[in-house]
Amino acid sequence: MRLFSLYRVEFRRLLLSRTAAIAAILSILSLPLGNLLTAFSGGRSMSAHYILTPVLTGTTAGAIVWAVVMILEADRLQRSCVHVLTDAVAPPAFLSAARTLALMTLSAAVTVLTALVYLPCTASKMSYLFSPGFYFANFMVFMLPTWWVSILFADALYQITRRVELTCILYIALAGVSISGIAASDYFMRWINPFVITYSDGFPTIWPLRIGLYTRVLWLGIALGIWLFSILCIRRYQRGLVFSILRNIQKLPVLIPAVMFVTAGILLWDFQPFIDHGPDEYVASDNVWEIDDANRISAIRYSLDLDPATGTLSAKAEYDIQVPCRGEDVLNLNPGYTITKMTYDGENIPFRTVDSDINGQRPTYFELPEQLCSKTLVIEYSGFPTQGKYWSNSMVRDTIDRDYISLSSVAIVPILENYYTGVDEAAVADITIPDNLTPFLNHELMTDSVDNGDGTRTWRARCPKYIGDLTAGYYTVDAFRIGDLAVDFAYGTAYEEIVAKNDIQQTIIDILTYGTEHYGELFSANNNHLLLRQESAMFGGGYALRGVSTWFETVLAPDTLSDTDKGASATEVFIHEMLHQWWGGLGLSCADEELWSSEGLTVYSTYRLVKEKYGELYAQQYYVDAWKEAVDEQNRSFYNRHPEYLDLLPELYQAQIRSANKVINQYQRMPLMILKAEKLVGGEDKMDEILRQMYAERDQYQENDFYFTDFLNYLGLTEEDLNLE
Amino acid sequence: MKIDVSHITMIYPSGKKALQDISLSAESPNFIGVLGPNGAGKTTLMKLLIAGLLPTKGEISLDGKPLLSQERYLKSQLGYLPQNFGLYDELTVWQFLDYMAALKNIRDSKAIAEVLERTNMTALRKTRIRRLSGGQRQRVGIAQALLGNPQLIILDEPTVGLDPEERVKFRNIFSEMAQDKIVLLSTHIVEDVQAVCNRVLVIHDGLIRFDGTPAQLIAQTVHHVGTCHAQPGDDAPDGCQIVSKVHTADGIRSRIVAEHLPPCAQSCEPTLEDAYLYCIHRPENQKNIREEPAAI
Repeated sequence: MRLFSLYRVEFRRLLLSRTAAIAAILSILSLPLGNLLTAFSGGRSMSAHYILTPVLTGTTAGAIVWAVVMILEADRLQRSCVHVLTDAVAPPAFLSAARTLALMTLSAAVTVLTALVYLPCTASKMSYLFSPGFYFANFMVFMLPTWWVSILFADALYQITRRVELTCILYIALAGVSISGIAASDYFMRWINPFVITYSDGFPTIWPLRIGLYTRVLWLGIALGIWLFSILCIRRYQRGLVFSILRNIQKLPVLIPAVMFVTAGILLWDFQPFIDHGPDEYVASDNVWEIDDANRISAIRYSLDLDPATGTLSAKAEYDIQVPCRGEDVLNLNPGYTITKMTYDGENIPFRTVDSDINGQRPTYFELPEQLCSKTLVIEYSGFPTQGKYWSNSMVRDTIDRDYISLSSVAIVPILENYYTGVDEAAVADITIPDNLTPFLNHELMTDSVDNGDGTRTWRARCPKYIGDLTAGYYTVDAFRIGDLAVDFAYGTAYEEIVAKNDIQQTIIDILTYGTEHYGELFSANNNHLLLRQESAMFGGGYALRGVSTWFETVLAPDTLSDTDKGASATEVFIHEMLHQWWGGLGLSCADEELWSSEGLTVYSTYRLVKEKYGELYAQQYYVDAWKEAVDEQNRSFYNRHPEYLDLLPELYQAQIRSANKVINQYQRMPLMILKAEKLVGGEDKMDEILRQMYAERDQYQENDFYFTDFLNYLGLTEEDLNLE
Repeated sequence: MKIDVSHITMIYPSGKKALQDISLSAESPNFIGVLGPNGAGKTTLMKLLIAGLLPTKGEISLDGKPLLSQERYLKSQLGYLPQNFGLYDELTVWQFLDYMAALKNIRDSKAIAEVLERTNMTALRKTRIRRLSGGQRQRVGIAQALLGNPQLIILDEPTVGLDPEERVKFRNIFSEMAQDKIVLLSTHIVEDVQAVCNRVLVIHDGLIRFDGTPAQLIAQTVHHVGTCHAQPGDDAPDGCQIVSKVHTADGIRSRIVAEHLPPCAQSCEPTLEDAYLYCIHRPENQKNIREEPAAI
């Protein structure tokens, strides 16, 4: 009651404080800085651009601002001698606690205010992609707890040291650990600048919010524990630190809670369920599996039940084993899963799981009675899938959410290394997921399903021994034909308007027709079928396999489609992006050099397609002339004419100019050089012939990238031949 | 309320010995004036009484119980005005008193109105503290000390910065309040003590040199105060302390106190100021407390 009373007056006083008002204004104004300081967040999805980046910027900037306010407020009592009045009538420890809690309350109010201030603008920019719940969740999960942690740390450091300059130094050191490269992609160490890869618009996942909330709770525990301890350091009777601690311990029962909170934080860190506890790098296995031909499985049945509410999987795998392995056997499973039961021929069999995570897998050892043949091994397992540590800083690969599911390899079924199946599709998988999601199993659209009547649907498919990939989301699938080729074009339902507005389906037909005619059929087209699937931005990239070609989600993002380096209109930018199926990591893998990259070939190909589609005049005006203008401007640039002065500039400006030069080199200068090459080799047809040959021989360059010198070799020209001067 | 100070010694960590084996007792109602030169130990005594310091030796009790076990009760009954204090400049006078009232667990806003009235601050209640003069800030300090009708009021130089009229007014307010409370008033203005205090405490060099009524202090100075004439440039007679000097046509007429008045001096009626000076300068009170090394 006393504490509440003190808290109330402190809060009222803070509301009138000019320092607090300035802090609130600075915190609110800091949000747009994020998009000015690039590289704060990776993605270009609308959610990343308009929610994630501003919120993370505000989180870090605000945390520092509120820490400064906390230190000033704590020191102010001493500095202005108000404490001689207040300490006489109220316990200093209670007063200090009340002040900190009041500042935390004020920061919470500012968080809500910040969210409300930017709400209209964000909702307007994001239009139909805007979700109020998701928007506010970001503020509450990242911003508010981080500000609180920062306030608690600042107050704790001040109470311990009682010196402003020392408090600032220690705070900077603490924040420095989080901001510096030491914690670059560590979800847990980054207490002041939470780590989030990016967000997806079409396939939203709450995984970043889940781990964000977890890390915030973890740090709140640690900060609260340290802060409670610091209460004991409040100086009494004008005496020193040790004497005050010894006196306060007798009167304030906070030591045990302090230790408990810090311990809870450390335990949460140690037993976190999100990332496996294996090495940071991929570990190449030295094991050479010698599988006995006799060890065969005749049939496999998988039953997978995914619960988006908890993000967990409950599953059963049944293997009809003809001849079991001799001796101890091993299976690998996602470290987040727990095997609850393992039976063979109806009898429980002992097993032991070893906590040695490697490459996102955890081994479980068991032994089957080798004399019992043609019996069924049943493995029941469940849990929350963890991300492999070695890829967790670049993508979210395994997640079960209400709106998006992505699971791979051991996050779906156990891997039994020691058995043959003998047939390609030995398994039948029953997968139960929310009925509004469209699933893809091993990159193929699932078609056979049963409605369970409870908001879920069970999908059935035949598949190989292991399920390599399961993806489900809000997809719209457009099926159409290009000659004999049947195309399934799968994209996020959220992008329906963009797809319709930019006539993307017709554009795909144009691209596939043009690309196939000029450079050869996409290697991913299989048996006259091609699935073109949009991949979540969370996944970190696209890939191509036989029968399926994925493309990065942000290809359809408004920011991408308005990038004039890639095309004169959104449709043409889409053409550019899809032509990367031939020129880029999914086709001919080009090296990224100062001048040469996959962009040169792709921009040139886009120009050729546009020229064919809209006419020579259009292509000349919007492509060739635009390239020349950009290159001329680059040539006229003072720093390019006098590079000796460029070296004198601050590094930041040097980097900016060099980066701008590289963009022009790759997107404008190189296409002009290829255009020159086209004339030198004998015209467009001859050039197409060379490009077709290059694409056909792409496999030679999968290991080592395709360099500019390789390109010159195909052309039979030298670099000097392509000089534009 | 009753306070007992028993054989208190206070040595600061720096080694400075501020108080040495002092004892005193006070019970409501009591208005005690504390007199002493700078550095005598007055402020240290006050800090000990508000549990702002721990004594090196000895014990302070409140209503018969150790003070440190009664801290919460003490804080609830205390009105304290320190010698140097700060205020929250961004608040108005009313807001600051409201803040202090909340710290004191006073919920009735009439209490704030009452002290504002008493300290003549009602007209300034909406003025931000940063705009107040030094004297007005001092009045805010006094107002917060009087908030909630505390039973123990400790005032360390409360009338510093006040004009004479206000000083008189405040000492009368303190006097009224002391009718059922313990009021401890530390001051250099002997006149204030004489006017309102029923008890005087003279502290010098960490020791209590006198504890009694003003009349008793004066009484012990009879025959030790006198006047004598001298010419400009003459030194004061040996063993005499000059209280005041008046320039006349015959030279300078000095008022002096001494253990033994010189033959030239004419004995006169002592005042409390004379008595105070005599008390702290009498030979047996001139033994200084030696400084001790810092406590480890």
